[in-house]
Amino acid sequence: MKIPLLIESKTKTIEGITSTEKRIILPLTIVGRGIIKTKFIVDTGSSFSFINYPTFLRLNLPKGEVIVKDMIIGNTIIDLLSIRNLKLYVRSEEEKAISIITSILSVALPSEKDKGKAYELPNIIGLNFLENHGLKLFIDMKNENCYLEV
Amino acid sequence: MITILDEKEVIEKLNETERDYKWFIKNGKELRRKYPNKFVAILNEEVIASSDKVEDLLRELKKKKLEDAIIEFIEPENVIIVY
Repeated sequence: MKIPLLIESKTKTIEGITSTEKRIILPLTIVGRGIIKTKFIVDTGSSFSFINYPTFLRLNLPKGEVIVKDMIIGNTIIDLLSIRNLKLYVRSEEEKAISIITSILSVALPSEKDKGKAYELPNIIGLNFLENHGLKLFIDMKNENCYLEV
Repeated sequence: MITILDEKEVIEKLNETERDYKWFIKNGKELRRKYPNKFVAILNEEVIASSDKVEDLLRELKKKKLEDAIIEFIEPENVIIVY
């Protein structure tokens, strides 16, 4: 069963040089103490998977224990805290809702050394999430065809 | 644990989420021009609120009972960010 992914493309011109950033994103809903609509960036360069501070606030979750301290990412420094049994819903190509209960995700909170940028981080799905849930990732950037397979 | 469901309401919410993210991607350049370094709330393919601080934005959405929006931080135009 395929779970379609979107490609976010941003073309920026900085000091006369034009470049394009592309990201693969997974739209989904998360159920905590509330239900929220959000997205994850699929990041095969990350060994960790986490929700960001705004998502954490919206889900109204309790703070878990610190599992990684002072991790440097995207121009900031965060602590990763554990979350237990978070329920995600994603949509399959066949219009079925796929529910994923996960304890692999953590929450990225600003560390004491953060310079105010931690709030701006996206939600990230890394390799550990794909591995733990047996998800296969297919990427064909040329034809803009990306999906996860259950 | 992965379970496959056929719940209409969940599918509807997921379709709304995807539709608003497609709109967000399509209108990225305009959003970066209008709302650099701000958190924005998007619902039904329009920006319904924005703020420098995510806490303020969440408070506003709660007050207006519009908590079903997606929330995104708008990166400025002059920065390339690699995660």
